[in-house]
Amino acid sequence: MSIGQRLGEAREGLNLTLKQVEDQSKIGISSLSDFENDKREPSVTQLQHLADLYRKPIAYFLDESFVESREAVLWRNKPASPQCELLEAEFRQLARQYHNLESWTKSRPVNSFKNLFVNEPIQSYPEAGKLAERVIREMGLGDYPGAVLYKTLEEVYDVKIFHMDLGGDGTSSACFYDDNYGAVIILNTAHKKWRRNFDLAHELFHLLIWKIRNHSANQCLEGDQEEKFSQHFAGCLLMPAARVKECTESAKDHEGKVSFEKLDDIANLFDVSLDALIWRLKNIYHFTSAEAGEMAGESAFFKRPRKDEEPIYYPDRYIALAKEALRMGEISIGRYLDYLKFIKPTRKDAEKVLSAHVPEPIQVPSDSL
Amino acid sequence: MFKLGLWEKALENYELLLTDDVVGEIQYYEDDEGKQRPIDLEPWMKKGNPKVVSVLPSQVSGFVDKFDRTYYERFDKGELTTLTRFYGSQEECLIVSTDSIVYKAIGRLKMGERGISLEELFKDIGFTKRLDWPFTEGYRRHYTDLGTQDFIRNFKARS
Repeated sequence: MSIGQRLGEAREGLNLTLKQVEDQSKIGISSLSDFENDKREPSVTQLQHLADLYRKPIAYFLDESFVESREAVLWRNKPASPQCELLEAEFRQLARQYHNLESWTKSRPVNSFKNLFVNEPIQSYPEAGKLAERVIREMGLGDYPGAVLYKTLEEVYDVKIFHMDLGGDGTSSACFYDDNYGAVIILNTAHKKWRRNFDLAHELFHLLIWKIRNHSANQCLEGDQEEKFSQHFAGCLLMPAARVKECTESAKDHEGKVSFEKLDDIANLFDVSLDALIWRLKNIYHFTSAEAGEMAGESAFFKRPRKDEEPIYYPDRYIALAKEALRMGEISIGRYLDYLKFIKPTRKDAEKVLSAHVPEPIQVPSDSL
Repeated sequence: MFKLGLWEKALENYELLLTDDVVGEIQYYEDDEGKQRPIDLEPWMKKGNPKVVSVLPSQVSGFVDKFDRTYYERFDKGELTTLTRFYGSQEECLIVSTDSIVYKAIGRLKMGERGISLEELFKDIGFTKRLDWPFTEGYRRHYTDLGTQDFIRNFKARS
């Protein structure tokens, strides 16, 4: 495929018209048309500008051997087009960059996510619950999995977790698995920490069954069976039954009741919302849906401020790998700044990274050739 | 060079070659108080030093495809076009950078002797004050040697 054909394909992949690209890139329509029809070559600066707009690396246009991930992104409440295509392109770009950094610094995960894949379909709520118990055991998540889930997934199982502004209109999260990039999850910066935690556990379920799930639809809707199982899984994972029961029993007053205040404390302990805890208690104590619904309704009037945590745009490990790649001479300063563009480091910051570690002189053997 | 007031002196002693992609990136420098000062290269370019050249994407892929396709993702456009021009240059020229990967790349290309650091360049024009690590000869040599090691490793693997 020529540079021009790839430019056209990239633009159409984002449902952008030439006029829209002209407005955003300040490159005239006639030039854009000439480029796409291979009548003229863009300059490298123009090509980079378009690559940035289309969320593609420049390699996509220049390297015929470049292969991009074609795995479908699974959305929880997919955003509308063209926002969806842009977010997916951004998402894939981040995953590719993370993978590049691992490759260039020769960094290997402690454990492979592949070892966690489920081979048999999950067909009931008890099976989803058993899967959660197995994951807690295998990952060593302990009694309060919410406190360690993020770090464990990222640092031990090489799950790439990013935060992006997915808007406040219901799009919670997304995920995909690629044989080159591994498991990738995106969480919404617009959500509170305990909601993001639940979304993380929820996406984990989809990834665990990735190899056996039906990929014909690229979003999971609320009524879907897989979606219900993933919600149940997330609840069981973050709130192990035995520990939750222990906390609830010890919170009972002399009448055998538990106040919303005490329930909120328990929810805080497990890093989940009060609402999520109530629905978990429904499973553990076998309330009816109506009873749980009533409790959840009453809890809506109980509002107590909880300390939230600002989501980190880039994982700590990603930033550490970027600095390591710069120190090793595996990435240019310009590209390093690009890889961290959302936290806006300066050239001076990059030079500080290089200056922070003055290495020992290297001996290059003179008789090696 | 602008910050240290050495730009004009450097031009008196050297012919500078820049790609237009690099020129597009040079917009300002930061003074000692951290204030941004604009840079306008136009007056010097009109006099013929620095000389500005264009490098097309097809020339870049001609160079990169021969050596290491990951260069597309590792370099930004300024370094990529500079390296492409440098490699294909018929003239006897040196490459100067504060980018570790540039020196590593010329080491891998067995062209390490054609790198020069700002420290060495400044010494030539009489400036001998201590500079930060990325501007020094030691920095240039370190990363060039890393690149040379890679070249030797790959040579041994192929033979």
